[in-house]
Amino acid sequence: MAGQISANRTRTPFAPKLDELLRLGVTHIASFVPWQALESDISHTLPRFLQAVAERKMTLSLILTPEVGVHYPNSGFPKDVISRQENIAYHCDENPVAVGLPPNSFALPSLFAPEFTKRYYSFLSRMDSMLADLERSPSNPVRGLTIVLTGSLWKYYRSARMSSRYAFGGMAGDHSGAATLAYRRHLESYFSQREFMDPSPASANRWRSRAMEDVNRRCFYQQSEDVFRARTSQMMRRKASGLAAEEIELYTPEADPSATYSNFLQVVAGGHADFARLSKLVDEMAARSSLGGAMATAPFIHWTSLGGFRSLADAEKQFLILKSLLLMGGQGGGIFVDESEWFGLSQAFRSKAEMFARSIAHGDLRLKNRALYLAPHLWSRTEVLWEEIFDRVGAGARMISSIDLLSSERDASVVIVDPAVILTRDHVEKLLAWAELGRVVVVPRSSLYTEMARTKLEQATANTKRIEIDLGVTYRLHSLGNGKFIVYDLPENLPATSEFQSSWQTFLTAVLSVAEVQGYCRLSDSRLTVIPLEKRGGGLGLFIMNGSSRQVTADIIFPSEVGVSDLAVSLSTDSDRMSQFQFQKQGGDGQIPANRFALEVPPCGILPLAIDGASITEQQERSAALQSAEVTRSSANNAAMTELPGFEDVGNMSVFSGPNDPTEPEVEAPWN
Amino acid sequence: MELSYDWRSFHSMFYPKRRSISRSAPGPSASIYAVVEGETVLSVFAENEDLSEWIGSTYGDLSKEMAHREIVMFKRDEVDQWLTNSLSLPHFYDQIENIRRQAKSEIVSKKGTRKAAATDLAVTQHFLLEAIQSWWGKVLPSAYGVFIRVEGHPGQDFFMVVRRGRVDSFHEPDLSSMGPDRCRQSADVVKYLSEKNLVPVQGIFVSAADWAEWSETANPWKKVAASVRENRARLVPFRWAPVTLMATRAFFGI
Repeated sequence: MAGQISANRTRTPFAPKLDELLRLGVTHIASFVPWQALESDISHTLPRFLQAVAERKMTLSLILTPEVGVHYPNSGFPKDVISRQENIAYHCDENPVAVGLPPNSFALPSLFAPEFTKRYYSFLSRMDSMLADLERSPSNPVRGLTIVLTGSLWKYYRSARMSSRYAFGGMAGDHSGAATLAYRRHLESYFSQREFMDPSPASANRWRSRAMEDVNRRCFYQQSEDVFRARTSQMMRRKASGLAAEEIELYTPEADPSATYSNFLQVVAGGHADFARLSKLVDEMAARSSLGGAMATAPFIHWTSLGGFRSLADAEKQFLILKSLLLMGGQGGGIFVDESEWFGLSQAFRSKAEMFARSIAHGDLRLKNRALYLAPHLWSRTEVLWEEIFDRVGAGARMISSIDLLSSERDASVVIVDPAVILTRDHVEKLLAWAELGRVVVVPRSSLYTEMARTKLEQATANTKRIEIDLGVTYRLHSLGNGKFIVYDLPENLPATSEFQSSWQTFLTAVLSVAEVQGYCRLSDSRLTVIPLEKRGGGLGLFIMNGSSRQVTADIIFPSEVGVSDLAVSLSTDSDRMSQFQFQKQGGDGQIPANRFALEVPPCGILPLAIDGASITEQQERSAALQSAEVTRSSANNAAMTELPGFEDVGNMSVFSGPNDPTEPEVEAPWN
Repeated sequence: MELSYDWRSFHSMFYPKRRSISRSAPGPSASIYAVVEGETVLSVFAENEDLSEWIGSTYGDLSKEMAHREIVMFKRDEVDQWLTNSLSLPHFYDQIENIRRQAKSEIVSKKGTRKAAATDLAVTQHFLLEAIQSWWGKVLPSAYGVFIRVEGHPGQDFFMVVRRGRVDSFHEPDLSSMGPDRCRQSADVVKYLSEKNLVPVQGIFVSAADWAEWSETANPWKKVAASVRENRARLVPFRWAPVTLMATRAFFGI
């Protein structure tokens, strides 16, 4: 059980508050560190707080990266820094990026502004020194401390206008003067790499041209975000290297720019928060996976007690909390919720949520990635294919922006590359290697390949079995190792006609069919959605969500016969927890296998079902076999690298490097 | 490091929690609010209704379909301007009040009557905040403090400073230096806060049940006056000026 409290509550002593939390069963706390407060008080408040936590044998996650939704003026950003125009971030409509959350709306600072970054790294350095000193002290009050580093503000640099219809619908990114300068420098240095100057140095000009602005900006923002994360992590590991640290992606839906106009209308009309939008934002965020270190970051949602969330009815809050817990927890993350909000909810709900949280934490339930989409920038708009994948695959669809995440991906059976991704040789090698392990890789035939990448792709696919298909979108399907490699043609102009949409849908149907990505079930009412979590030991935990304010009666239809039971019962022996939910198989009781069941889901209700059946188990076994093959391959690679001089592993591709030309691997030998 | 703008305390004091989803269907004449850019609807809102399907459609289609209802429309560039202007204000309550004022004046300029604007922006404010920002500002001191102690469950202490009729700062006061015994003495607490903040302070001591009932009522001044008369709510120190103001609001509605 975890809660969230603020370390800046000096007006009330820590001890009574912590004692109260302990009495309530809270043993782990997450807290933000308001930068402004700690700059002037670093040697007193925080150490006292850490000491008080340690004395009670509680554990603590301390979020050090600047974030929105912190209960402190300007969310803790130093006022003198954000009051200067040159330090303010501007979105693509050339207005400041304002965050409309109490205690005050303010314009976000630019993470490119020299003054801001200098001050920020200085703050981190002081924090690092202070925590290192505490670690060395005899009482060691930081023994239960985990440093938490987040992705910070990058995802909020979006225009309210562009994101009013689709949350991540516009071009995200800071367009301030400082950012533009950094962008120009990036263009110069990035495209000075040898690969972009092939076959001649003049080739680099193509990449730097004005026509490439859109593509380059996305690439630049993504790289800048990755660099920011890496530097933050380095700064905090200089002296306090003994402390546990975690990189997460933290998101506060109430502060999202896409809710700006909606919030404005609620202010002028005196209404309540837009529940449907908040729910949609949780879906959007859960579908995006960022890189922290070499792994995917654990995603977290922060429900503040400051913004619109507080004005929601209890049923709506419970829906959002459970939904975000399932989507984020299922990927190794979770939620931050203010203790007053949490304990304001009913005991029955809290018990149920804690039970599911425990099951997720123990690995009994897990959200599997089924289809990946490689985009140039996580927070900017993407092409039509992503929307289709998101619609079809639902909670199993994941957008990534780093090719490096492929190497740690175990579950997904297909990756589709966005047409705006710049493909280098490294990208192509990693994609080919991933396909050879029995997966499906879908890449566009675009002008965004470097010469080396194009040559590599042509070499790899030259002597393979291929099928050329035209179903509105023309594509070539290559058989590669145990997998498939699909190269699709991008229409010259992308008209938003229904015919064009239909072509993409047909194409995607074919791709998902090749990758054997099938829906677990269908629901007869579009107001219901489903979150499928895999159960350890086989079967599924299916959460049927009704985000509407009316009770929904619908059918759930499976492709084959399955057994359906109460998930709570199957996870624990406490059999009466879900008694308020009703479900019944049509024409019989719930124990007999069937492929169609009738459901009644209450308003803002979540119906947890346990699903067992041969087809489900078969899918899971196939996935397990794939993972096992990969482990075997990896072990063989390790053994070869130890035993064979000159053998090295490039991503998932094993190669022998010739001693005369270390940069040009001579032979590509798929290691199966 | 006491917070000047303790929004959590402010919120819990003046905005009661909503426990259940309102079942009341939207009235046929309930206004619809929209932010529009050119002809495109960017955002649309009506209480208890999900109108999100209209986002991205044209304003013409929306007004045609909702011809029987009043649509209060704001232009996107004006909204952006109001939001940007509000950033210079010190706290969220000031900011939303400023935005409301500008939105209201825009409606007035369109419709030509203040009455229409009042109908369209029928925001229910907390009775105490509404009174503080009313003509009371002309008769009360230019700077003063209000201390509210809500007794019972959930109990809460709250202190705000009002300057020139506007809420200047607000927080749960730190009384730890007073000691536990003096903390319970209403007169001592008010005196302490007055000396600390260098403003006259009016203390209001009220039960949690009464405060909750008042906060959920549109015009509870008669109840407030009755509670003070029956000594269920106490004004510390007892001054005739605030009592007269309360009575005026309770019995004359002004």
